[in-house]
Amino acid sequence: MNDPRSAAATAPRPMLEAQSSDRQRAFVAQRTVAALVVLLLLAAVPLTGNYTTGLVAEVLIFAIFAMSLDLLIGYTGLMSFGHAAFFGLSAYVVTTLGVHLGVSGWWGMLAGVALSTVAAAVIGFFCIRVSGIPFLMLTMAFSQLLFAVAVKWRDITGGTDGLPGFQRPALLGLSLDDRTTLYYLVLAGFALTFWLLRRLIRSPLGSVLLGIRENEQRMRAIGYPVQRFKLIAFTVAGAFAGFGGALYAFFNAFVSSDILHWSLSGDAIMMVILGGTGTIVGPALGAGIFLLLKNFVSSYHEYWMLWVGLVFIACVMFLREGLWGAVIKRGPAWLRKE
Amino acid sequence: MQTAITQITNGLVFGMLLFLMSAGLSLIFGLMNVVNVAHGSFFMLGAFFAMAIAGWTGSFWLALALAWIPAVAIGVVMERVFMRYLYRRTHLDQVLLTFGFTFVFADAVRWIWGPEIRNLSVPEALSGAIEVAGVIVPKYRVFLIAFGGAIALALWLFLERSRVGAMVRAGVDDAGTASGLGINVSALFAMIFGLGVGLAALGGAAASPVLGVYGGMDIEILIPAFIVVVIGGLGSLRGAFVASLLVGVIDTLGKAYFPELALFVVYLLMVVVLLTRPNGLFGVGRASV
Amino acid sequence: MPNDILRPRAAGDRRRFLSHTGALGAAALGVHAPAILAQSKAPLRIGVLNSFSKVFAALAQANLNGMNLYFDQIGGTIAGRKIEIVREDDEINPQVGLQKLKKLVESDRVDIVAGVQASNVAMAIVDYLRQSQQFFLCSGAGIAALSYVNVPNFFRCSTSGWQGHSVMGEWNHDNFSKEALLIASDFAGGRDTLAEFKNGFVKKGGKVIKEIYPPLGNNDFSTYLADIRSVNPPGVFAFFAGSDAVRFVKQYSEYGLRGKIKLSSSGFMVESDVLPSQGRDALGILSSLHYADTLDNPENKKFVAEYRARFKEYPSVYSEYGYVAARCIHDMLTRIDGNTQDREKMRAAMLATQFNAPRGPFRFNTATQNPVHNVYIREVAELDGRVANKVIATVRDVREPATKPT
Repeated sequence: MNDPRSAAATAPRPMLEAQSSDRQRAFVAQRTVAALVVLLLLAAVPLTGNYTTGLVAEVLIFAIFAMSLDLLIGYTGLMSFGHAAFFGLSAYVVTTLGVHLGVSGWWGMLAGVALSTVAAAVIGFFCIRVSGIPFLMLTMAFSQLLFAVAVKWRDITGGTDGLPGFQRPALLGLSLDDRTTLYYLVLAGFALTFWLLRRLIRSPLGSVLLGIRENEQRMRAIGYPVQRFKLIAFTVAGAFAGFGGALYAFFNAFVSSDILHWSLSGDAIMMVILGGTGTIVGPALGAGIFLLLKNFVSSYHEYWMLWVGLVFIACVMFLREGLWGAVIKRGPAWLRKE
Repeated sequence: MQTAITQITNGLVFGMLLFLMSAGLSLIFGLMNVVNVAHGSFFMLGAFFAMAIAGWTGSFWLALALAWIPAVAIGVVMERVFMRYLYRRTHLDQVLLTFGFTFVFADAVRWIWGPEIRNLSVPEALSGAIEVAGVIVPKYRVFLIAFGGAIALALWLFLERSRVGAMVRAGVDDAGTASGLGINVSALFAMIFGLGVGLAALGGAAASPVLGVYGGMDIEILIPAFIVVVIGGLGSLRGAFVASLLVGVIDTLGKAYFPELALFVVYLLMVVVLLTRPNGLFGVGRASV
Repeated sequence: MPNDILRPRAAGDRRRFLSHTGALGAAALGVHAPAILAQSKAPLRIGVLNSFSKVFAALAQANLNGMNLYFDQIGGTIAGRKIEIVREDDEINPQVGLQKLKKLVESDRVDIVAGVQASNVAMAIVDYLRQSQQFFLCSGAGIAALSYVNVPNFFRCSTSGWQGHSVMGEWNHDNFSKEALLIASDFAGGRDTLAEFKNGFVKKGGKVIKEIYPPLGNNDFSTYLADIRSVNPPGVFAFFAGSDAVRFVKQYSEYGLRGKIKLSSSGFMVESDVLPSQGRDALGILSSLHYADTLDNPENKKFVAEYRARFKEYPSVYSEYGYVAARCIHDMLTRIDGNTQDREKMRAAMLATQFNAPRGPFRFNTATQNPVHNVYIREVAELDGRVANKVIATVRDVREPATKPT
């Protein structure tokens, strides 16, 4: 009776505290429900037909690519114009191993992700020595060097014509040539990437990266080995991009040098900006917006680049936080992570 | 030996072409700290306007003299309506905005002039080649050397020796104090941006007899222009000049002696320079000539 | 009277009976008629996949122009079916091309797909075409490998680069120079072209002095031109495309090599898409192609006149591609009464198709489903104040080998 602990346990808690933790629980519950609804919707896509299934699969693959890039742009503050290097490198590894050596796509995927990770570590090591515009140009230069290799090494890569003939591996006895099965593989990959990136951002590492984006000098002054963290971010981003690239190889059963060109890096940047930097959902949304915009507009209007450009300009001028960023700011409270 | 002299000469001539491609970009970045990714688009616009004017008037010289005017008009509008709001934002936002504009300009050109490859002919007076010490150099390229040199000189005089140049540098260094002194910083920025895109357009017009006039040339010259400006040092016009010649010579020698590496040489050069001297060869930060 | 009851039919009754039966019959037919009529009246949907943006935009547009010209000439219908064209842009990107093809086949449900100028896109879609069995008529890409893909519903009505370039190699040796320096852009098309040229040239005993491959999109050829000057070969064979073609030809003349060192090339380097920009700098260049807008045959004269009247410019080889593709589709479908449900019939009908095209006699090589046609040697000359390709020799009925040449 006189035990203070039991007294504290039975005493009524202060009102505000009770309210805020109740609210937090409600927010988490709402977010979970929303996530499940989205997942359910995505799982139902194959019901809409083969063509849209393929389209959504492609969006999900580029969503992985864009989300990995946002780790650099939105979270670490590194504007990379060479991210296609890791996406493309992995796609090439999967395809060339499969076509020339008959290696199963699964081993190819492992090799692709591994090689992209290593490449990101090496290229990142050099690039993080500079920042700002020089960083932008250096990442682009490395990516273009890889592009040049792909173009010139025609015997292995097929050059500008590309390399057809990749045989998709089987998934638990099911053929990946069946678009629905392929779609579920891609969906699983997307969900995995989303979940892993979210955990990364929530972790102490994520806070460090955010700190570097906010004020690099301060982080350094506090004593963080900023360069090491930048390299980690660069490498991890490269690894995820590699995963996306491997899935893309599975999807197309084909690869060509366009996948390493800086214009693909530019597309990814557009996706990230349109959707919203500094969030995980943003780039995924941006990938959807960008690809759907490109596809639908180009089918109906010859000068689709003009419209995409105008939308992008409007976004940079007025909706700098991106579509998802705007939704979070002006939407219901439970969307905001607290 | 003769071949080496020939190739080095070719390289220097190509370098002048690169200078014409990159001067505008360097100016805008150097004086305003703004990255204009649409630089290539203005270069292309200059070439198309020149072709159109030459078509209407039948005169190459008129085309060269006037092509920059519509380009500058577009540039000033772009600056006043869009860019002005981004000066306080990061480099990233400027890159993004101007990147969006490249899409718009590319399709606009295609809409107006169609997708065919066009061309602007070298004027009669400058057609043919001359031979100097065993090296063949087309007369038009000699003209380009003189033209490029004249532009470089004019820019130097303007920035270093004129009141306007001083005002510009003041406005960029410290806008508050400068406007306190009565300098209209806002108008100055519009003028500089106009000058930069005008240079790009002029370069496009002058280079078009050599490069051609076609959609896609905006992207094609953007990379070499950026490479030159980055190697020379962001913000240094002198750096851009020297880097143009350097890149021109190295690219040409690379093509001549290491043909298999032709695609790689310039990118390798940029990687080496950026890693050893991240600020470029002459870069000292902003606003330096 | 009792008989009156048993005899309800009067004179008018028979008429009424017939009209009732007729009405019933008409009703019966009427129920089925829309279905039958609908089957033959369903529009003929043709998907045109081509590079309508980027550097091939003009070529793709010319192709579509040629196709539209032909379809309008025949009244816009084939076997009672109205022609509907659905066009998609592949952006010269194989990934995009594949996606757009899927849209045409799965979402738009087109009966036939035509087009594809870009070789990389063409190679990328072969597997999908094989799996989906979609009927495809390639009216652009010239990559030789497409002749050997062995996909039953895959036809090509444009040309295989092998035909033009190998023939040029042989002709070059016999009539131009016994030794040659070869130069082409460093991309798949450039390397393939030179390989095909060498195939014919070396077979006849020609000697290749040197091979040079400037990078694609090269601005300044001075390095290479200086090299050519110092080597001083008896003849040069070149291939460049698009703006590279314009720059190379102009700089070749600018640097004083025109007239000094004989230049021959693939026909594509001096075709109507680049010749106006090359202008007089191209005079004297010899080239090989299965078409020239100056060809003197009735089909071509009609084609050129109508194309000029409608589009205000001369047709190019790319316009002819589209025109011939449209004619192939017309001939094939007329043979089988517009039935696009039976692909085997379509294939047989296409294989049997032959006619006189603007390029000359046209038919399919049954082994490779690629055209058999003439190859012309042309010289760039000034004709009636216009710089054009004048035909100076004809090699008839060129047919590529049935199996892929090494």
